[in-house]
Amino acid sequence: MSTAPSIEVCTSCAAAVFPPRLVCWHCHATSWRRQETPTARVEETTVLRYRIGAAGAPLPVAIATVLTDAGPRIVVRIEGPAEPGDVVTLEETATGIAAHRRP
Amino acid sequence: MRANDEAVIIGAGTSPYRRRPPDRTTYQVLFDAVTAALRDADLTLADVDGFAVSSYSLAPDHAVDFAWQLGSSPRWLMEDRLGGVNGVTMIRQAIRAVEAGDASVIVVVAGDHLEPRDFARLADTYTRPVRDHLASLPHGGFNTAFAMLTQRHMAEHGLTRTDYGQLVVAQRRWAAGNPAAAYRDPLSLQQYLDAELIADPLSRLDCVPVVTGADAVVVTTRNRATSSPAVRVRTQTTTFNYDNQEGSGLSTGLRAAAPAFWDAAGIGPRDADVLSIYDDYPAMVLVQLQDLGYIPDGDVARFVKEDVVARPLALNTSGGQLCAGQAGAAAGMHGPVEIVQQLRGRAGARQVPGAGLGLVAGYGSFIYRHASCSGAMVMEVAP
Repeated sequence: MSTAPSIEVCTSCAAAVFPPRLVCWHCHATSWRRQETPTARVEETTVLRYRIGAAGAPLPVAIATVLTDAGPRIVVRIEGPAEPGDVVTLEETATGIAAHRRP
Repeated sequence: MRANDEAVIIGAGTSPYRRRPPDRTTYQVLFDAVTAALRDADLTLADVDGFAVSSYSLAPDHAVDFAWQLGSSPRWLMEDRLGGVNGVTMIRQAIRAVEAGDASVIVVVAGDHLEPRDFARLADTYTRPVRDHLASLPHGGFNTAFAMLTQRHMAEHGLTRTDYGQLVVAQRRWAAGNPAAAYRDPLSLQQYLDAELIADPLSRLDCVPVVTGADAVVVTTRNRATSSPAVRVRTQTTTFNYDNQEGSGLSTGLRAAAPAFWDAAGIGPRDADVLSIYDDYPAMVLVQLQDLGYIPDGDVARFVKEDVVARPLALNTSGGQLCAGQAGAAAGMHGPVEIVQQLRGRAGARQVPGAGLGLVAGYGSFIYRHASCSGAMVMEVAP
């Protein structure tokens, strides 16, 4: 069973943020609840083809900015084909948040 | 404040930027830049009673260890970790300190020697969000973030890679006149378009090359000025965490700051004779120039063609970091040092004739999707 990533929602004003931070930028409250965000829509994608100082790293890797259903834009690794506009399923992995195009 | 107590910059120097130089260390390049700036100011290390320093590869050492390495016992010392805006912030602090009498001669220096694996480690641990949420994807040392920002910029303004290429080619023409630049060979637009991709649409020529080097300036009071002409900071501004990383990154904190900045400067954008605009990626040069009011009609492609290629603007006359290289924390001092050299008439083959007013814009400290700090300075030949 894969785990959906979570974003933080301000319990005072409902602003949704990622990555987590201490104080809400919108209302300055400090209380958050976690909310899972299983899906998102792809906004931009790029393919990383070279990394300085990382010889032997598995490349290329597709990276995307996605707009989560919960609100925040997050940066993820795309696994399998996905284009801007596609709806993707998000999964928390040992190497960050991965996204797969929804069948 | 009496005019004689006003703080001015009377020297600038660099440790020339080099790709993988043999036998260089962080301390050596910082010291080389300090020495060059003091020579330019006609002063010696014995005259210095303050240092401002910024260097990622200084770790685990800090500013006081730097003073110890140099055999100096200053009465004023600071360290800065604000990235590409550190020129504006450190020079501002040095001016305040000199004018308050806390020090009389301050050398502001920034630079780095980063091996490729050191750079990769720095880029993967740059902030908590980077370390925790981007490094393991992987993110390619900010290149993926700015690749996607560039895509947004292209979509918003209808730009192509050719538009960015013209900017890079123009900067390379300036770099030919800068012996401290790492890349000086002529570059054609076709060569730019043929360069291998790093992260679409960014190619090798869109991503600042990692180099070793350092930049320094000397700040003192006008009555102690041993070298002329002196350069003064007419006005400056900084902004931090302008958008909580919630925006597109297609504007910076400079957009809101620009009207008051130009008011305080008493000039408009077109009055600056020479410009150093922070250039980690070509799109960011255009974003900052738009924020600062250089593209009032919003037609970025027209601006590149008419104002950059045709060269009515003396923009990034050192070649910018895209051609000179990015020496770690020197990023934020690269622009100020070039402007000081231009205003003092010491820019050699790339000298802008009669340059009397210069603009610096700095941008730095990536958090999660783009950078968070901006700053700008108008510098002038002290009247």
